[in-house]
Amino acid sequence: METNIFTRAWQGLKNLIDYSPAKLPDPFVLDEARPYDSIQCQEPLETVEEIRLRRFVSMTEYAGRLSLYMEKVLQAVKSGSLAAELDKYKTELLTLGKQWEELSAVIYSYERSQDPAEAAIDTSLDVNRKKLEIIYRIPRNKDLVIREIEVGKGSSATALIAYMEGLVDGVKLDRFVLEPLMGTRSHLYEGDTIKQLINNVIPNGQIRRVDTFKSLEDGLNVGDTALIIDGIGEAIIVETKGWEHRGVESPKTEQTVRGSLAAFSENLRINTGLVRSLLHSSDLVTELIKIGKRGQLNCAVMYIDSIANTSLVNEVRRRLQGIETDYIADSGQLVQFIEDSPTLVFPQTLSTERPDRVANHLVEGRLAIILEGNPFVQILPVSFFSFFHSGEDFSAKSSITNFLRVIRLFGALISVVLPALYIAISNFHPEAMPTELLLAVAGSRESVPFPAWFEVLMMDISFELIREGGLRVPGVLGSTIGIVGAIILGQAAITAHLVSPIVVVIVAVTGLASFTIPEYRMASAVRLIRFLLFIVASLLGLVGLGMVMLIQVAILCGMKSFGMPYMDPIGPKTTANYDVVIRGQGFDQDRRPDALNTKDSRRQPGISRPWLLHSPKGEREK
Amino acid sequence: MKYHSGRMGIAEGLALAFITSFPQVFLSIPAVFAALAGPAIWAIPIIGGIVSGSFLGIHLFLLNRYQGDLLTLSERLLGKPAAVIIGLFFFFVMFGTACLWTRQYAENTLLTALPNVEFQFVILLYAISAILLVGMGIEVVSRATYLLIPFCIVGLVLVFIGLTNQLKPLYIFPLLGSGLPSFVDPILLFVGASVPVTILLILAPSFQNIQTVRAALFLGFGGSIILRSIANGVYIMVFSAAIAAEKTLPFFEMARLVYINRFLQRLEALFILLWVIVGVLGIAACLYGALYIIARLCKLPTVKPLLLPVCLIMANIAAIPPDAGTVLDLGIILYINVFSPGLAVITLVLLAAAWVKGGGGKRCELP
Repeated sequence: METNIFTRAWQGLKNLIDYSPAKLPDPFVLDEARPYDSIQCQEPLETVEEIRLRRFVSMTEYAGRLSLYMEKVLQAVKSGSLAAELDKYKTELLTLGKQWEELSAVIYSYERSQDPAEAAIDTSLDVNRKKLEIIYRIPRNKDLVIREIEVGKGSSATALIAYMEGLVDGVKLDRFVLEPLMGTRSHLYEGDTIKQLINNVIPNGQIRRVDTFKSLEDGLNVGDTALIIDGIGEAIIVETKGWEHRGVESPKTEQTVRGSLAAFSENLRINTGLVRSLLHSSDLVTELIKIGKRGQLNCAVMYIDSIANTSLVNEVRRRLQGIETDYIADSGQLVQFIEDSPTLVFPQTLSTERPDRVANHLVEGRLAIILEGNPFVQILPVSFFSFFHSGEDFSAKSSITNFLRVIRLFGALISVVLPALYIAISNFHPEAMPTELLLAVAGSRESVPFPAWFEVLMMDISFELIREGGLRVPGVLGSTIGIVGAIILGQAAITAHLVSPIVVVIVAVTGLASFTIPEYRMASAVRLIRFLLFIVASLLGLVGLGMVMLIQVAILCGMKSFGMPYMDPIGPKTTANYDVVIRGQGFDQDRRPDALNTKDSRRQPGISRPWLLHSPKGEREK
Repeated sequence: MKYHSGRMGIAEGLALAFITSFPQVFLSIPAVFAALAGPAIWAIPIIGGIVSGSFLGIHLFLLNRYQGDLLTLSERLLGKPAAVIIGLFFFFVMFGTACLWTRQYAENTLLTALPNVEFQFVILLYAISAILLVGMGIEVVSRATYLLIPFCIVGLVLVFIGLTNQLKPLYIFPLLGSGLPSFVDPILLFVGASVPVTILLILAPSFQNIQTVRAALFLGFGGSIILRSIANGVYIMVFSAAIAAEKTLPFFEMARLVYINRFLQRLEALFILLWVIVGVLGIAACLYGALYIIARLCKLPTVKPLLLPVCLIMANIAAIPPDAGTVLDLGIILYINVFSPGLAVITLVLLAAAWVKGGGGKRCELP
């Protein structure tokens, strides 16, 4: 039936009367970590010992059968009856082959159960490749490049080249590793091949031979290139470090007195390399997801596989893969597509341009999202208090950090409520002001023709104009114009009796306080809320102020950042680690944030300075 | 909106227990206590708390044995019709308390902050604020409360400290006032006014387990009792029983008397923020309890469509009494004659039913 105004009205009325809640799936809640989510756990029918015994029996039986078969074949060869019984032996051999295939699975599962990092380098290239893939979580992890090459002209040997994208210098790799290897005329496998390659083929100052995957990883994680030759149980590590560092650029919006001075750039691979250069961890995974139907931008999701909650990783991946749009221009826009409450003014991811901050948060169990062409990395999930941490907090002494954090929170509070409080008190409760101050305020306002709320509104808007205008003026001129403009404008406004001095002081203090919030988006949210509170306080005084503040607090308490409560660890109450408002000493920070539900909740043992327990070496020698 | 909340912990429960019992401090009830019990009003929260706590303890004991919440417990022990009646009683308690508090806080606002505003508008303000909170869910209400409780306590303690130079300890004597018989009405009043604390029993499955509810009640309700007792003690020591009984807004009057020096005086206005927040949270918690019960009784899938009508109904009911005195009298009548006897009867009937059905108090097997 065709819809018209009557049918729509009827449908609307029907919906109103017969209301039924929308059938939406439950929102994502970041729950306890289940590290083995992907593994289908079944009730074991046998004990581990029984399984081992059974496998051992199978292996020995197979070995017995094989030696029996070989003895039989040997006797047949000796007696000259092999040709006559060839079909019989062939069938038996096929059976043994099938049995071997079955047992291979047992051997493979045994090898899988061992930590590949602890294993020795195998002589089989395929085995080595598989082990590398397991260690570096390939294909999920897109950082490690494994390439097969033919060494020497006339393909005398096959080799694997492995290196970290973003950490190696391409020129070094091409000129000092690949070119000499591919062009060598040396005869390999004659004597010590590794020694031969090191001494005669690869022209590199820092080169070493290794025989375990542990040593291989150590090299790969810092930007070296690994070379594994087929048939040789050793590898060569060639120095090819070449990630972007320092020269990239220093942070523009997160400047610090101490700490790293490197910032992210627009190049995705440089950005992932910058993080990896600070975090030499083999299970640091970089997943690449294409975003935008037409833009097809690469988006990297970085996390430490052994720490980050599996369900969180899956959820972020699901949300990113579920974006259907043409093009995403900025990581801020990307976040709007995936965050829990995009309509709320508070940011739900931490935006940073500092690789050291990203590394720090990754170690805590968070995820980082890096969008191609954008120098701001989004960290998630975060709590409200994360926005009052600065990059410097990690390098300063905890007592100084704590003092600064309290100042920042106090600054945020002043920035939100000061104009509203002034209006509420001066308009509705002047008795709360000390008499001298009240008389001074009244005296200064005598010549001003406007009501107090209009004064504050005018000055607040002027302040925002100066701030916004200052941002658009290029270079140093911007801040100069801002400061000069504010001073001249304020003075002129007082002289012209447009505003009273107290209002200029209040707006200036408010503006200054708002600059103490380190995160730009949080500072913007605070500015917006300040206007709301100001309007309500002008109309309803302290009562309106109290009500709107309460509703704001309730909104914050109801918010979630990727399933994690926004007001953690206060609402809901969880075990706070020593890095919420009060930051403990580095050696006191034993646990990761409780609400992140990481796979490994401990960052370090309870006693992280065991050297304190031992007497100094000199004393012992005495 | 899902009205079945998720898992709440001790912190949320503590906050709920506190916010459903504490807002009375900012209303006229302490003055009523002073009129009824004289200098002994400090003891009323303690004795009343013990009585209320006993009833709550019995409920906790039964819930521990039979599991579920107060409504399922009633249904299991007394049958469906009785459970509906009990549900309706608690709905009446929650909704009635929300209406009373809305009107009383609106009257306080008119007296202290917005004298030129139409009182129906102020009532509507409270109702809308509360319903917005209810719309966000009980977890949000309880978490916001938990976050704001420290500010509330610090504010109260600051007032008490500010009043130390005005305390006259002799006013509190005789410690037991006119004697124990004069305690009956105030205790009934206290118990009746504390019935909304049962919201924890109604929402029991939303908590981790019954031990969580017990701990939350102990800390939240216990803390509220101690603070109320101290507040009453300070009130009587500042004003004396005779004057205290005449005051309309005890806390506001106490805050007004704070005088540190000539720059720090007349701070009562700043505490408006405090009691407005506590009042709205209290109304929201009670309103949520009422909506939850009605949704449970009517087996509604959601309470969302009820929010606006309930908000308007509450605002209209709150606006019916002609003046603040009538609201106070109505409150006293309800607390003494309906709420506290109702709680006592329901508790004892449930206990008796459990005794009879459970074979001398032995644990019943769950079906």
